[in-house]
Amino acid sequence: MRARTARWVAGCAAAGSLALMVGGLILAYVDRHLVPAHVTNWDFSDVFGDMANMAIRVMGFVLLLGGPGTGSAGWHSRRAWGWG
Amino acid sequence: MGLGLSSFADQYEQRALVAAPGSLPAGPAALWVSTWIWPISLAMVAFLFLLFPTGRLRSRRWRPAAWFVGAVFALSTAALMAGATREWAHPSASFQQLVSPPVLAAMVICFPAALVVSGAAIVVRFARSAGEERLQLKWFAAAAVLVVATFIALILTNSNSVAAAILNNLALLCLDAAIAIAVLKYRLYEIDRIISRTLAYTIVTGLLVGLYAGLVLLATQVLSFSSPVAVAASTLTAAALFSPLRRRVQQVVDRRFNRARYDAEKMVAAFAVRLKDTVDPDAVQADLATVAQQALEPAHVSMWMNNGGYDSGSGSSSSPSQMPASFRAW
Repeated sequence: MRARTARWVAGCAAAGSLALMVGGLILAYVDRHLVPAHVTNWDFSDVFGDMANMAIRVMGFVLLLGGPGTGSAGWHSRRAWGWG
Repeated sequence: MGLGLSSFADQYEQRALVAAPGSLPAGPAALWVSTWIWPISLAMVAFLFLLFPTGRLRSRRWRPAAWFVGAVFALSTAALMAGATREWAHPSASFQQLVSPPVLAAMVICFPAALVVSGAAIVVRFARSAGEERLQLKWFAAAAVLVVATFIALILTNSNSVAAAILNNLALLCLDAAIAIAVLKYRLYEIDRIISRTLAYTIVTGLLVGLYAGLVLLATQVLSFSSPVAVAASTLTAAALFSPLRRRVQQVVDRRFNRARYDAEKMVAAFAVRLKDTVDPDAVQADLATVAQQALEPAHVSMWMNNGGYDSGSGSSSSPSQMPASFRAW
């Protein structure tokens, strides 16, 4: 796989995943009064957990940016997977 | 992607089937996805342990382990998918109804086994690592210790404590940051200092809190001083002891966990002692260069020496090229 393709695939996966999580949060907010209290995901710890999970995507996105010579992990991971 | 899909599908099916039935299309499909997709996220964690930080297995010997982990999660996902398909018409089916008892028993045994195998991979890699890889793994291990500690707190509180849940999420954020630092190799060498400072301050805090509580109890319960006086005296004692105790504990901790700094300080102290008895300037220059080389490990060492005719006490800011000086490089 070419480096540019790998970057696009990873970027799209991270962006798609972030969009899905934001969508989930919006639905949790909309339904906060419509579902029983023990089922709702709209409380501080759940929302904070979702935020922490979003950070994983942001980190993956950061790691896959950049190229050789920039000291970024994008190059390291592509090299490790034999993509670059 | 699996985690994102799982999170969205959970909320979607909740809205489509519970909160406002019929308001969104394909509610059962969202429930079907959310039923089987979660092991994929867990599999990613297991493979992170197996492949971190190089992106490759440590050696060919770990291939069976990787195949085992992959097979466990793939088969579990397939079993859940089959169960969810079978129970499509019954959205309220419990987990026990989705998979047969033997499959459920196998999952209960194999899931932890797969996680233990992948955890063992990173422990073995850490034990046999050296150089930059060791530092990368140290970052990971330091954050992983936080995650495990907060996870234990979460279990002890039966997942009811909001504070424990928040701390656990913060620890997971630290793990993300540690992985990023390890892979980007940015500030990689700071980990020894972070571990040593964290340990030192934790020990000092524990000692001072214990001392403070002991003094207050001694003064109020045994010696029968009035409470405000005892508290004030204990506070003053703890405050007075903070700096010397911190210095002493830091030294002990550095000796074990921040050896480079400890060795450098020893080297500089020994150089200061030698400097008192050395009279030959060339010997001092060579010794100074050696000490700087060993303590700081720079790419090269160069030294400008004032050979007289320059008033060093005047506060002049002349550049080295304007000074009547000699230059030596090592």
